[in-house]
Amino acid sequence: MKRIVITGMGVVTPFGVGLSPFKEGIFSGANGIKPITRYSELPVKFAGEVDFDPLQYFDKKDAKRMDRFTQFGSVAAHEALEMANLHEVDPYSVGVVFASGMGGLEFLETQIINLYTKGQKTVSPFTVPASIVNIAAANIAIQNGFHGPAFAPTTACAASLDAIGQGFNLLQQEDDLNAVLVGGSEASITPLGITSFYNMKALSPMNEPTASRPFDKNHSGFVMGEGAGALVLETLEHALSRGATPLAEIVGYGATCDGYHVTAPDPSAEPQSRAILKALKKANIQPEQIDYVCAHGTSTPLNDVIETKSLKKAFGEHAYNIPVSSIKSMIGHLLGASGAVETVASVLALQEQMIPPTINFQEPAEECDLYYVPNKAEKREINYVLKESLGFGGHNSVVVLKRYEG
Amino acid sequence: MMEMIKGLLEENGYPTENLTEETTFESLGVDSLGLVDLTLSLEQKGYSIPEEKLSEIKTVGDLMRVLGGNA
Repeated sequence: MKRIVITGMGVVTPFGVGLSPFKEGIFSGANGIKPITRYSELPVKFAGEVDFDPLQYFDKKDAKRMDRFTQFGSVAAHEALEMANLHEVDPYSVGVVFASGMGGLEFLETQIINLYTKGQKTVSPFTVPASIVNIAAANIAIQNGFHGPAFAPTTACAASLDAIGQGFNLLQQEDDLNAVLVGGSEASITPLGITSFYNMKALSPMNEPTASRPFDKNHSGFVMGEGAGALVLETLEHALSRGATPLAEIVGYGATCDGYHVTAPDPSAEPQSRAILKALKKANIQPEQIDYVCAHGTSTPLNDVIETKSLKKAFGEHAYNIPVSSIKSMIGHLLGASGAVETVASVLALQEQMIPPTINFQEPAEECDLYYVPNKAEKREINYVLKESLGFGGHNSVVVLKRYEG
Repeated sequence: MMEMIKGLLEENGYPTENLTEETTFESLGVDSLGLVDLTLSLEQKGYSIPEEKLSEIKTVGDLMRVLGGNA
């Protein structure tokens, strides 16, 4: 079996553009949730909005043709590829698996408003290629001249963790692929995005910057975030042959579907726990070897309780020994980008031997009785991290990462 | 007319230095969708550009002639 390593990472998060503010933010337990500035009169006033000027990264012509989610994705991918120093490679040996939950929602929303208020002639001819969900993946391939397979998994909030898993599988299966740029991006802090999630009671109605409180007694829904995460996955052999530095290793991936309900998780937590067990089996490790779980932890009561249950089902008594934290407490829920950004956090945890905390945590919610690393980062010996993402539709996705030791 | 086209190109982020009637849209980075986008903007300004004329527009001069014919 080929060993697959991560050789580059990049992010755009509510802490800012790039890895450096993200690393500083998650390990200091900072709060990236701020008042929404790009729109007013929304049902909630706070979100993990990114302070981002597209003209710093793209010329005006290109910026106009891209939705914000593609801009975020392109910037994160650029940082990851620069770190990996993946240049002068056979372009057919590099693929792109880059996800989004909602795609170019803002672009589409704007054009719908144009159509119904200003007429057909005001609908941009770029509407389709700016809003389709695969277009961040395609733009990353275009910008970097990659000719390997490129596609976008669309499993809602599990999408970018599935992108990582699918990239891992591709590298294992396809002998002519050496590297895959994986990840996901999201930019859904728009009137329709916010209102839709609010009206389905998924967003917290608290209207406070501390409303994202996964596993806490006062969890009342998630807080929306936006951004992107990108990672360069590469076969170990290829990475070493060109002198790249592996940051961590991906050793397992498992996915299941609840097959139960469009939004509510299966209350038995059985399919979620089976995804965990599949990933552990693929990694060929015992549950006791996991040192940290980077949770999905959305701060919705249903998620937090069922996710906790799934961990106990999969890990048994050992679940009580594993620190579990959710960085959504600090940056909100980046929907389809969350899995990738949280995987970057997991790699940082392995590198720094430090667990990012669950902030805004006061008292555990009922049925949430694991150790959630409250409010302060913790120094620990970490060899294996389990990252879990769950998506509307009942998609359960799990990736196991290992500290790179050569 | 030239100034109006120049303004429109600038608005959309295309380079406009040394713009002449012979300048091709391709050389400015205006692809087929970009040209449709420009013509939709022109139609909002009151010009009408028949669809069958669109494929004839290769240069700034071509566009000026199409617009001059029916402005």
